[in-house]
Amino acid sequence: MIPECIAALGATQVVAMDHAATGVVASVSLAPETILDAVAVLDKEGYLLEDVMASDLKEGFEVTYHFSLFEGKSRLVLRLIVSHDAPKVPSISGIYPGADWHERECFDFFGIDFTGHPNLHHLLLAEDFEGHPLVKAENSRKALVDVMPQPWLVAVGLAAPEAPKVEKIPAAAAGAKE
Amino acid sequence: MHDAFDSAIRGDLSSARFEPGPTEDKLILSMGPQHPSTHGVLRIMLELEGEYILRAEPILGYIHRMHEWMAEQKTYLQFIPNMGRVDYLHAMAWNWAYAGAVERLAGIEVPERAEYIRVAVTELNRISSHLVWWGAYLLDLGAFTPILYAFDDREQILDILQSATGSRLTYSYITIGGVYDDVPDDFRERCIEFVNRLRSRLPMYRDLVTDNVILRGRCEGIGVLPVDMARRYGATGPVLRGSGVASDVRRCEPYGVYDRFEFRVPTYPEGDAMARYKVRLDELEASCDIVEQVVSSLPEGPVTAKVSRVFKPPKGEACMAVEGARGKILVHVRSDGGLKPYRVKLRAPGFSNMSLFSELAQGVLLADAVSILGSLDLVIPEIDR
Amino acid sequence: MNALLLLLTHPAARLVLWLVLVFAFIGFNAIILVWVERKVAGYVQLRPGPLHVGPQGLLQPLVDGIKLMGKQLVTPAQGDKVLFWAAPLLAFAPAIVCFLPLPFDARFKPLPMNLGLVLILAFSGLGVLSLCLAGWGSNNKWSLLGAARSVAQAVAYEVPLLLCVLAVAICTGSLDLYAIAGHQGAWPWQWYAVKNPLAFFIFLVCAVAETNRAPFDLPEGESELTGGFHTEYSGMGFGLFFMAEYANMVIVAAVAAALFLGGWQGPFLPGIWWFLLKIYSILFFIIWLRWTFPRVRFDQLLNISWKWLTPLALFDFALAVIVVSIRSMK
Repeated sequence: MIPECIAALGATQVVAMDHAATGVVASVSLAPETILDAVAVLDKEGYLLEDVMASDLKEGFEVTYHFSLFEGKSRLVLRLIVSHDAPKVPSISGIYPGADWHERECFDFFGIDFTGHPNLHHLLLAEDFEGHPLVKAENSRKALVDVMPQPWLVAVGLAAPEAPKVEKIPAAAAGAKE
Repeated sequence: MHDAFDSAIRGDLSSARFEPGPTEDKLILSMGPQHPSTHGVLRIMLELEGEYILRAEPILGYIHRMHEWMAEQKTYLQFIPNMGRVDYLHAMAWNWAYAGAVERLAGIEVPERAEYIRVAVTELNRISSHLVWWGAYLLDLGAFTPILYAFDDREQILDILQSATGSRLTYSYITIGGVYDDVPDDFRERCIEFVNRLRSRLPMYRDLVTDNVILRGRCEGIGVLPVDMARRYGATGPVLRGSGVASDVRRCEPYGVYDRFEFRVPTYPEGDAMARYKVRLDELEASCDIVEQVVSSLPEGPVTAKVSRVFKPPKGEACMAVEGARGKILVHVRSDGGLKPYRVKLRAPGFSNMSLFSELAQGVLLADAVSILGSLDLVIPEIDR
Repeated sequence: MNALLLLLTHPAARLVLWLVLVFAFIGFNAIILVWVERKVAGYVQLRPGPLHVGPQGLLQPLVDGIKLMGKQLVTPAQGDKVLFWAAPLLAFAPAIVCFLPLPFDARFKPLPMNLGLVLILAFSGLGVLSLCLAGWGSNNKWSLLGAARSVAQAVAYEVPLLLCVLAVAICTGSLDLYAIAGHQGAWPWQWYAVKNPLAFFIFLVCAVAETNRAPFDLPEGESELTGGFHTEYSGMGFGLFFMAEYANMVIVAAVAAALFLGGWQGPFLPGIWWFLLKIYSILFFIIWLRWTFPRVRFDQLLNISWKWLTPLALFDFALAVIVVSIRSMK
């Protein structure tokens, strides 16, 4: 299910994902500097920008871009991690103008600096609001290994392959009657 | 005194970036946050020359509630009522998107009957959302009457949904593992009755409103949205289908049991306000078809999977896309294995659709901007979240 | 007693009496019309309309009027106080004058003059000045846009309106509304609405536009300009504009009835009832339009006038001139 154009994205890691379990078909990890080139490739392939999402992890801010095609199960996740101290990501709003607001939202909530953004200031929060509400306290941040699904961790080598943790979820007693 | 007054009203960052400049014939106008056609508390800064718009910039955040932060403070189940408040017109779709994402995360299998009920209530809710849009859009265009006909129809839907869910607008019906409760016994009859009623009224709407020459003059050729522009801005839903792209989440990544039903995905190639208008009116019929099929083949069985009270999904992340009345709703849920989500991201279709407006409104008349704004079908709480 | 009666026959006294009657008529009429408007709107929109104040909500407009009078009059901080408050008065005053030459009945002649039509056209032209002043004096951008719209609209629609009024006047050879109405007969086929339907149609369209009623209510344009020229008005400031709108509606309907529908003439009933019936039929039509159609856009509005109505009215006028001259040759 992985589209061919993924090879051209310059990814550090590409992991095929189970759409039924995660809603995406492939997860693509990138270095922050290469995001513009990768997005330009996706633009050429006719991908639609769904959103830009950030989350606060121990390793830094993880910025994820979701793209999909007009048809079929085609959602790609582009993920990159920037440090907490200098959260700079090149802005893709030059290629996808729709990213403008999404990036401003990430700036609002996390303080991530999208370099090259034409208009990076508060979008949803009040203009005199100080701080970034979704940035977590140091002790409540989780590492990537704590928030990523097991198959992904296995694929990128962060976890041992034979850890069948996913299998024994008590909540998943499917279809049981009350 | 005047200077003090001026600086007091210019102290806004957004308006400060719209300075009149050297020419005197430009008018800087703040449309909203209280304005009859911004449907709530949207504000648009306009730079006008006469009545032509040189520059338009939407200013958001007047009803921002930080749902994503709230999600991190609540348990998975506690967050469900929030979803009904994100988009008050199509609360079911948001409910479903969130519940679906959590179910994917935890690998919960939803009972078949629950899936059917979900489809039925979501489609009924979509009809009511489109009806409100239809009435409000014509109100924007200066026709006062259609909204009352729309509300008359919508009232029937609200009655049906109230009997099933207990609420009329901000539903929390679709829950993790199924639906909150079974539908009442007369659900099927009432749905059929409503579907027939709406079908009998749609031709009247077409004759009286859609074919009206003034309406056509106000919509045709206004706000033409090319496919490529829609794609780059991430426009989805009827806005994208109005540009001729048959993209519908219910079709391209079917969730629930949508793949079992026959329905049309209407598209119009023109890309103007009229095309978006017609797509939504056609979707009314398509949703009627789906409701009819669902209630006539509603299987028996439980309506909810067993989900423990102390619900802890495994660590991981999942997202779920749902076709809302305004477009693709995408909810990402990220879990660290605890009681509360680690991160929830809500992708509102209106947010992306709204970001188009700046470009679409360039060079048009103020009255056309109102028409374009209406044709994008905005629900401000959804955009601001 | 006799002296008093004699005094009443004096033209000046009659004028005063008539003015009082006109005031009463305008006030009463506004109340009735508001009620009719809301009832018709309710009927069109599947709802009952006003229901609880008085029988069938008849007293609702009265209560609304009292509410309006009780409201604070707010002058915008940087508005022009004089112009701001002159505007509503200026909107209302010409309307009163316009009532004087109306041919309610063959016997009532408050202001006998042979230029009644000119008087009405001249004074109704003043109305646009009030909208303009209201928009300017408010120091509000929405109001200003509304004012700009109203001027362009009034200019555009006065041309075809005058042309089709002239077409009728030329056929009768008079500018006296009594003479024009009297020139027609009691039966529909004697009316100018039948003899010259094009002029009647143009007149109706222009009348709706001149009174700023939907679908031509652009100076207000609620969903675009929030309230247009009257955005900043509160209480009776707004109330006067409101009353003036209804008074103007009655005037255009009355003029249409006199010019095209034979005025007070009709079988069986006394003249005044026929005249009121004709006025109210036209008013009902105008109200019906408002609750049915969306609003046109500004450039469309001007296009309708300059590209369609004006040439058509010119054509109609020329036709009338030809017909009249052929007739006079015989």
